[in-house]
Amino acid sequence: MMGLTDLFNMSKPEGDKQKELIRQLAVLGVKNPSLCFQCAKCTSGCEAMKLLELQPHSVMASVKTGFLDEMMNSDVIWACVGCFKCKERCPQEMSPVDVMFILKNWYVMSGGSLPGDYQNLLQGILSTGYIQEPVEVLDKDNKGWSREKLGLPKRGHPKNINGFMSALSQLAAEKL
Amino acid sequence: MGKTAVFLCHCGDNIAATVDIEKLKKEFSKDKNLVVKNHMFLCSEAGQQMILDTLDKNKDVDRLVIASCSPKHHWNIFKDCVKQKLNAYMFEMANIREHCSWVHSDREEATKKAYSIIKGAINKVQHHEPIGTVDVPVNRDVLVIGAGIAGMHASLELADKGFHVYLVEKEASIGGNMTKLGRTFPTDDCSMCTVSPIMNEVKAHPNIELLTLSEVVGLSGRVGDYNVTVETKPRYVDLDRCTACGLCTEKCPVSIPNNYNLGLDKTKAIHIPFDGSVPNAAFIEEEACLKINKGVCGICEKVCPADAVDFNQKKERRELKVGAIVVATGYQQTDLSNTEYYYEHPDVITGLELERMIVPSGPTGGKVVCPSDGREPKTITFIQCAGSRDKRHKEYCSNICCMYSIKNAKIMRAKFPDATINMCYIDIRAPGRRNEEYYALAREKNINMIMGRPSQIMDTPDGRLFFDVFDKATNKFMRVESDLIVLATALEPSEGTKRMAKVLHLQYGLDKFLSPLHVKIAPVDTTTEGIYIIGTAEGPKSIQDSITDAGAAASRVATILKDDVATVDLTTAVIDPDKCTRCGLCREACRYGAITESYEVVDMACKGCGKCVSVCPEDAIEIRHLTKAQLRAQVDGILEGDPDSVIAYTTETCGYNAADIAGTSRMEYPSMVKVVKLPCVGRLSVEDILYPFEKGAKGVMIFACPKGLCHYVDGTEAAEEKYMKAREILEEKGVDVNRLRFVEILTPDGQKFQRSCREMAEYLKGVQ
Amino acid sequence: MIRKLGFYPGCVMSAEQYAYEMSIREVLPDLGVELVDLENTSCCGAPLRSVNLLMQMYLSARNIAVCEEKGLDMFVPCALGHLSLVETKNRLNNSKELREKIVKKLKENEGLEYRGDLEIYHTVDLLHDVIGVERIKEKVSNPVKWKIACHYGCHTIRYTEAGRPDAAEHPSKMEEIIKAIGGETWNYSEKLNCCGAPLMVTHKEAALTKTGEKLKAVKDRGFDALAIVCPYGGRLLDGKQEKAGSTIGEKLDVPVFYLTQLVGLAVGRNPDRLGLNLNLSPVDRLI
Ligand SMILES: Cc1cc2nc3c(=O)[nH]c(=O)nc-3n(C[C@H](O)[C@H](O)[C@H](O)COP(=O)(O)OP(=O)(O)OC[C@H]3O[C@@H](n4cnc5c(N)ncnc54)[C@H](O)[C@@H]3O)c2cc1C
Ligand code: SF4
Ligand code: SF4
Ligand code: SF4
Ligand code: SF4
Repeated sequence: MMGLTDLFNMSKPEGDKQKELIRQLAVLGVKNPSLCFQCAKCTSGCEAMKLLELQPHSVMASVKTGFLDEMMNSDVIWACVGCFKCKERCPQEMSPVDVMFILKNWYVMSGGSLPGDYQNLLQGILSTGYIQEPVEVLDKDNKGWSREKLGLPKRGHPKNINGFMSALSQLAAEKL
Repeated sequence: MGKTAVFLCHCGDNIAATVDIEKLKKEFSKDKNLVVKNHMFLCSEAGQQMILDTLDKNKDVDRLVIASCSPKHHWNIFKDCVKQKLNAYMFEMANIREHCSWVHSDREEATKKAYSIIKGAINKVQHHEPIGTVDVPVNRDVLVIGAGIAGMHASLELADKGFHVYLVEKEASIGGNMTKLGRTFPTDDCSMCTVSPIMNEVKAHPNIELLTLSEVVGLSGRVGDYNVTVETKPRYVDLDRCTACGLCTEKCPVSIPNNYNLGLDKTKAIHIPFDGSVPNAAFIEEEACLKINKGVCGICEKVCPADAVDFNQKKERRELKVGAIVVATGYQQTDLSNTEYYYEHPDVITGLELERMIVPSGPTGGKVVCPSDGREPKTITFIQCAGSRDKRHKEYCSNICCMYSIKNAKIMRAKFPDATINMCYIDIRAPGRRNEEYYALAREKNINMIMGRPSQIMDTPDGRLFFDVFDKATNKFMRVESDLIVLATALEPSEGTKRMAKVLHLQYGLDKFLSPLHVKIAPVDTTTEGIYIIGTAEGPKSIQDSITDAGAAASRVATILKDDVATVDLTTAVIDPDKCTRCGLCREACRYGAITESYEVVDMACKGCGKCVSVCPEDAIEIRHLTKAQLRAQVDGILEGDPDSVIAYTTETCGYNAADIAGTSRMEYPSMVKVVKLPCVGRLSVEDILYPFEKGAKGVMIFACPKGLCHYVDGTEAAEEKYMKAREILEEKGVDVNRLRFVEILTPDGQKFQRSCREMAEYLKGVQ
Repeated sequence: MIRKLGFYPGCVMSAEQYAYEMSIREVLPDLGVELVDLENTSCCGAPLRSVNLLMQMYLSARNIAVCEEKGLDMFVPCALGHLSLVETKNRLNNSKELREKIVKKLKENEGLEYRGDLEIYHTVDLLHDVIGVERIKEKVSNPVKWKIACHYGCHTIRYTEAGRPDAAEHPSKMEEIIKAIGGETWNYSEKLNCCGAPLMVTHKEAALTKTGEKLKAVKDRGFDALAIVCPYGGRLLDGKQEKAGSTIGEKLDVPVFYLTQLVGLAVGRNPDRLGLNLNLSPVDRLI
């Protein structure tokens, strides 16, 4: 492919991946990132900028020009809090947050290891339907309280747990 | 009947690249009744000459079809050309560019559609008859609405040319927004010093009649003969007596926010609009006055030494007769209070509020202070594009705020040599002569240019303003603390402009600014002949550009009103007395009272919308420019060319324009849709709606101007009624009613046109 | 009774934020809302957005289907869950492709029928729009006269396109409720800032820093307490206040209440049934 080359690592824009990204965004009802005019308002308001140096506008810039791999494999997109401020306030109705969700999904699909506690959350859902099981909580006097002790009813759970699990595992392999 | 000449235009390759002109030529040439010619550019002099030569050589040709671009584009050119040999109405245009080559990419499909469109036009033109003209007297008085810089300048230009001008202004003083500004780019001279002499000149000019506190509330008639209703609010002060001594203001007990100063200070219920206002006299704000609302007080009346206060004044209506109208109703700043741009803090102000503080006679006496506590600001930050270039608010660039913020940053630097001055921007827009140089001067003034847009403004617990912003130039995430934040608030058409769009039936864009007839080549004309739009009512622009508009419109008015009589085409209704049973339905339908008690059409009153035609049970009334026979012949022709067509009836204005915009924006839609242009959808009878179905059309769509924006009062409602009837009939006959659709559409909404056509085609595909 | 709603518990509230659940169950029936427990529920999928959006949408859709089975509209007290469910509902309505895929999976694997035409309420719109501020006001017997800051949480108000319980930029419904129950409240700059909760999965310290900063702001602004409407937020703002404080080097002691607890106190419900003993922040100071 002719065209652009990143002279630091000699990488080239990935047109096909970019097309796929745009397609998947469209499925979600999210607009093509190409309208982003790099005003950096998203980054100015980003909840993960100051502490974790996430720059949604540069994610958008990379995606716009097609340098996707670098972004997909970078740690920084996992810093997104998912506060939706960038999506809410973008003057061009772009959605960096959704772009990053998809990039993270791709990273996972490509076999990347799940960061942080994600493995546990996923395990929890696959086995019980929830990210966590009801626990006995302590009050300020260190007294333990379970749902039962508080008189709260049992919470619902997937009745057909096998069907539930199989649906999720099928989806794990499917494209958006 | 003679032969028909068909002219096919290549339009360079605008048409020829997608439509196979040679093939069309071959096809149509098979018909011995047709003389077929093609040309690279029919609208060129050579192209027109070819038309004339063809008519000369083929004396048996008595009508013609021109297959080219939209009639909106070149109808007048071809009409003038045809007029040299035949009656001006003995031709028909087939739009194979906007409605065909520009919206389809498949050559075969586009050629097929072009054939069908042209076939429709050929069939239609067989029924054309010459249409006569009539001379009407022209009223040479002019109405200018809005007395900002644009309206005042246009009024003076016209008055100097000898026209009598009525200048209608809704406020108590003329002058508009310029009277609020401090200094003005690119010369940086004082705004009031520039505008004040102009205001006085307007007042003194013998040819200008000023009506303040007035608004236009009704319009009828046509170019050369408009009837305008103007409503004037009571001022409660006699203009001839008031000496502007100000005693009443001093004594009035009711204190109100001073609108002229954008609420930065207070004034009284009775007050003089501002220093140097024209007329320079007091007026009473009705809503605030105790006497008017509660019947008490009346102090002003007692203290006025000139006996000028007059509570007996009443709201008045006046009818004006004018030949042309210039609309100069201006802009306002957008209300951003529900958005993240807005922050509830007195020291976050708009550009206009800063201008008020810069003016020496303003609310702070020319001192720029923090409104919260009156202290001098040490850090001043300008935030650009507040609400502009934002698809959620104003998608457009407000055009002048880069320049005025640069201006004000320079003024701030001059006032506060040691202050920190910041400007957050996306990019600075300073095109146009000398504007970049103006920006360069500002760059020398040590202003921190921050390349990034803040997300939200905040303040600390002790009230200090700040925001965080990522600066793309330094790649730094910065906290910017400020004493004063000035928003370059987006501009939008004023409420008055929006009202005028309704009252005068003017077209406006999705941005709500008034739309010119053609942005490029007819920038101050509108779709209504004799009405012109100037200044910021048409879009955000500078004083300089507003004045250029004003001059252009004055010149257009002078051209159109140059003669005492005008020749107009009789594109009006005509009654066949033998068929007419005097049932009265047409008279009831007509919104212009154009049909007399003796059932004759008054040509001067008839607008040619054809609503009468749609209700006549005896087929006794026709409009000359679109007879029943013509309409049916066109539908027949289209279906002959492509039996699988959907007939899209459009109004001549919004509907047809939207289809054209879909064309100029290259918005592809299924080629089965073929446009049939009507003066107004009110022209459609139930039979006209059902006719295409009888002839095997796949569907019928009706593209109407939105209710309330119909150019003929209520044609849309009338058509909708017929549409509902037609649906019932279809249902009775067992025809799928979804094959008939009614769409209200606005001129700029090419997307809606595309979407509606796609949905129709998609649906039809589904039911097959 | 003005409304009968399917009660969706979500993960966090039903696993540990019992104070929220207790106060909801104690207060809403009194205000005319009957809650019906659902049996077949699961996680809404929101925590999995980063991992797999299809799974997220499947999980949201299945909970909608579970509630639809009962023919009821739905109450989702968790802001993350509410957004995820509403968003999924919209997305499945707007994309035939997605809808077909998910609906088929629901049917085949779990025998669930998805329609997606129910209403989904969150605490804020349920109290403000359905029950109504006037109705709450009428019931107040024991006004809570404190200065209370409101924290909506990101997902309660964003993003507008999805349709949220209150406005994204100048939300005011919580404030109106606080005023109706006798409290004093005002806007503060950090009102819309994030509590940091979602970051706990990957960036614990950053999450706690955000929690700390938020609480510090509330304290610095002179409020007596903070009202919240999201169990994810509660877990940190109420539960991890000490840790958050030590992360940013501040001593934090802001009483944090669920809005339903405050309403419960004001309308005179039994304090023991509002779960107040479970709040880890110093709420006793006020009660
Ligand atoms: C902060 C700021 C700074 C600016 N600085 C500069 C500068 O330095 N240089 C520059 O070139 N430009 C500047 N501009 C732009 C300038 O103000 C405009 O170009 C100019 O005022 C436009 O004049 P106008 O006549 O089109 O509209 P307006 O000034 O808005 O006048 C419209 C008039 O019509 C009246 N009106 C409205 N509706 C009706 C109705 N229905 N019936 C009757 N009357 C009606 C209004 O009351 C008003 O008097 C600035 C603008 C802003 C906001
Ligand atoms: S995504 Fe939106 S906010 Fe961010 S830089 Fe692009 S246009 Fe600006
Ligand atoms: S959603 Fe993520 S990227 Fe967007 S502003 Fe919030 S933290 Fe930043
Ligand atoms: S009558 Fe009205 S305007 Fe006159 S002084 Fe009284 S309040 Fe003011
Ligand atoms: S003129 Fe400048 S500040 Fe105004 S909208 Fe355009 S770019 Fe933004």
